[in-house]
Amino acid sequence: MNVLGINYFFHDSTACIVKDGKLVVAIEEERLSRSKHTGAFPEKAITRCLETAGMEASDIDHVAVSIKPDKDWQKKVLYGMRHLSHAKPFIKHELLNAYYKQRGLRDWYEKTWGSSAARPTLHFVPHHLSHAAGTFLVSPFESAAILSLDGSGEWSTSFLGMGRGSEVTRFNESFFPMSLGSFYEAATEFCGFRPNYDEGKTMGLAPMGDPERFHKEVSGLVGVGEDGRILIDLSYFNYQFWGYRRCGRKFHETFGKPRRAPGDFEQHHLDVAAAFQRVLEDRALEMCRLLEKKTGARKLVIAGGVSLNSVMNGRIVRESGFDDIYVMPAAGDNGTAIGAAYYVYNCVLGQPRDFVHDDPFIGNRYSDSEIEAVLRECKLNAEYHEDIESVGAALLQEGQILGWHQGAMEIGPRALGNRSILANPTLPGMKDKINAEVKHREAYRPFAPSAIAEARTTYFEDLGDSPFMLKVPDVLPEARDKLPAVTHVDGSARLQTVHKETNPRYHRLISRFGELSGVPVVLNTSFNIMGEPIVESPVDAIRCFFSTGLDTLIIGNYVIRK
Amino acid sequence: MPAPRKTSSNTAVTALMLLSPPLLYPVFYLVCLIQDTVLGDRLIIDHLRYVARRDLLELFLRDWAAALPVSYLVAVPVLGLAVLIVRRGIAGVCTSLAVPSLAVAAMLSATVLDINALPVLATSAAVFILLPCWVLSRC
Repeated sequence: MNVLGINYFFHDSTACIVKDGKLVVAIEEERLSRSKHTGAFPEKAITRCLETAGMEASDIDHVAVSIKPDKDWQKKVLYGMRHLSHAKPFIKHELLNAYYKQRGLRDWYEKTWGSSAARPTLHFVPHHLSHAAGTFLVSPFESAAILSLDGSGEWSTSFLGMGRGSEVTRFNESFFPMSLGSFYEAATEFCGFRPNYDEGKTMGLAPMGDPERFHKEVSGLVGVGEDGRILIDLSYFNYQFWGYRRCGRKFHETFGKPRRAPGDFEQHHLDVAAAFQRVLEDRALEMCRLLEKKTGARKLVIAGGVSLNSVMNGRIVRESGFDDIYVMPAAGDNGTAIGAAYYVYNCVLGQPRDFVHDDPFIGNRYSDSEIEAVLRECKLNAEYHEDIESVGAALLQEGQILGWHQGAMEIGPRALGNRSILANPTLPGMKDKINAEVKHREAYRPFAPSAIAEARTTYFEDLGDSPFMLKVPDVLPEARDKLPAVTHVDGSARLQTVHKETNPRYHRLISRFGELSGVPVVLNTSFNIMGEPIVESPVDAIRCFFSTGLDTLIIGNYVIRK
Repeated sequence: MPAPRKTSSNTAVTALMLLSPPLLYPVFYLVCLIQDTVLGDRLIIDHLRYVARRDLLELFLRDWAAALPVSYLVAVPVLGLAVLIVRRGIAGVCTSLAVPSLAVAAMLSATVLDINALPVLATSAAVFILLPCWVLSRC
């Protein structure tokens, strides 16, 4: 039985195929269309998924869509009618946008299957159910509490529930405009970044500010009710009216002038980011404690765009009282394609649960012959090395910045070692060098370490395994001098633990580097420049290589130098 | 030839046409609030409790002002029809048919179809139309 999962309604359009319960491929549309976080219908991704899985459209039995557009429609209508002074953006955002999105789905469906008798069944799965149930169903836990948080999906903004076997129960749901995701987006806008896009930058900025300065004010903006519902003082915001500005007049009166990008940061911008980050963590923790009390569960799965906030996840691991947490690698809207597919497979079709999503390398891959063809076409001189890991490790030890393009592409927003830029984390100036010469981005932004799983506790606080770079532990005090390029100003690091079972080549590279440098950790950042999606093909990698300050590019077993 | 209408009645009709539409939005808001608090998710009451009164009043006035043109657009033909019905002396019949029909529709949509928006809209419309008609019939 083959289920095609698709997400296309908001952003991060994605397609995936679940074959007899196994996730065989998942690809984000942005990697193919080269438009970051695109919400366009993922036609290219669907086609590529079918090719990678070796299937035809006629092989698909079910299509799972991670949106149920008619869910909560009455709430939307009444909300729109109550706020007639903002009728225009409401109609544009909620009615016209929804119409065009659904038309895209209908056109693709008709074009692909027409009046064929073998048309697959179309299932519409609510957005938060796709996040929450989907993440639980592919987690390693038999039972777990479930927390899903994001800006909004249909009309809901959070999901608190419990998963047991193939059953998912919902305890509480919050609705727009009471949204923790939108609350945090306002801080992103205030700091001069793009809301609903650059929240990671706000998270990275937060450790540079003083969270206490505005803590009282920010804390008063958001609360969590006894039943887990989110409460926001909307008088500080504008996001509830779908405007271009998230922050309201009162917000600016309270916190000061917003940063005008690309102007320099002032202290109050850093302090606001710090306070919003702290309060987001506090509220998420309150919800986790409520869940723990209500469910008695020892495990927790977190889903939704807010769960990409790896600093928040780190605090949840430390303070929530749960023994273990699971966040899927594509925890944002891209993962809802996978979530919807598994919800249909396990909950609608009643198939047993027997898959754990612990391998993020499920995109398409390029063979040696395909790489050679590209190199020939580009007239590039490349060296072939059988032991490419040793070559890469030696280059890293020399202080070179490498483009590293290997095997199957990873799903999710983090480069996890197959489409990565790698460097030596022991060199103090490396962070500034990559930010300025390669990534062309803000100087403060930190880089993540990839460490072999065996060495995790030698260098980092023990928050458990972190294979998808979604937890932020502290770097141990004695290791901070050894890892200056990946230790953030507050002593933390967004760690990725690398396992030889899921990515043997990357594991070998880091091990070889460890033999040379004494530290089995490399600096790992996504293989792209600011504003672009991560590279997908060898051609994308070559283009990025020659337009940045990368020293050497390694594609498969081929080394390309400048 | 029908006898000309009394001036006092014509004044009442004119006043009704001019003064009723501004009431449409507050009536609708009130019904929304009751429905959401009693049957719904208590979103509005949470919002009201959590936001400063001055900000709420400002927003309410803005939305009310935006609702005015729509209210007049909707109210004039609807109330015109209602006035006609009252003057034809069939208001009692209409009321006795309309109120139970609306109630049944509201209950059905709320319980069977799980559509809470319809009772709110229907109740708002009923209050908005029937109340002025009753006032008018007394003039």
